[in-house]
Amino acid sequence: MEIFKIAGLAVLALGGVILLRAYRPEMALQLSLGTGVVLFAYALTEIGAVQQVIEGITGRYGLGSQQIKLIFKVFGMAYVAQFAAEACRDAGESAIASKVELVGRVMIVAAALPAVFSVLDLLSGLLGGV
Amino acid sequence: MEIEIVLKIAGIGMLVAVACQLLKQTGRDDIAMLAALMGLVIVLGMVLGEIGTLFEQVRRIFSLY
Repeated sequence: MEIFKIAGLAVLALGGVILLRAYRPEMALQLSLGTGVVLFAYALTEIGAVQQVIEGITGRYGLGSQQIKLIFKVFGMAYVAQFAAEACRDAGESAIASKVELVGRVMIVAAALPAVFSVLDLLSGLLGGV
Repeated sequence: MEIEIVLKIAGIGMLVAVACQLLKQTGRDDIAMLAALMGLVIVLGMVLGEIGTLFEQVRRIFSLY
């Protein structure tokens, strides 16, 4: 049922943005940013609930909680980078948007490197200490 | 789902737009410029506050310390 509220808010804000773009383009940007923040905050509450469930499961069965934490860290970085990049692209600054995305990717790769190395060590162990 | 922030920004935006048009018509372009600037500063302060709380929540939930 919440999805109707979200769609309604988006369309409401859309009307406001189109109206403001004619007179005050910078205000239209702020309005779209504010709407983006509200919708992302709502998505965050859902993601928080999912994360609690997943942590409960990994904790109970002793699965790789380290990997799960890394996945969520990467997800958070992508989440924030995408928020900023879309805001820049929406304002017409696709150059800045691509820079933000590039930095986001680099940081995600940097965060994921230890996991890759641990997998490689595991493999070399399996293959008999190559 | 607090849409109050969105309505507040839309209201301030429209108010500033009308004020600027009015001031432009009466020939006071500099005051119109100042009004637009003040409106932008106020709205930016609100939006940045909201973005700050959003990023703080992201940091807490995704443990991005």
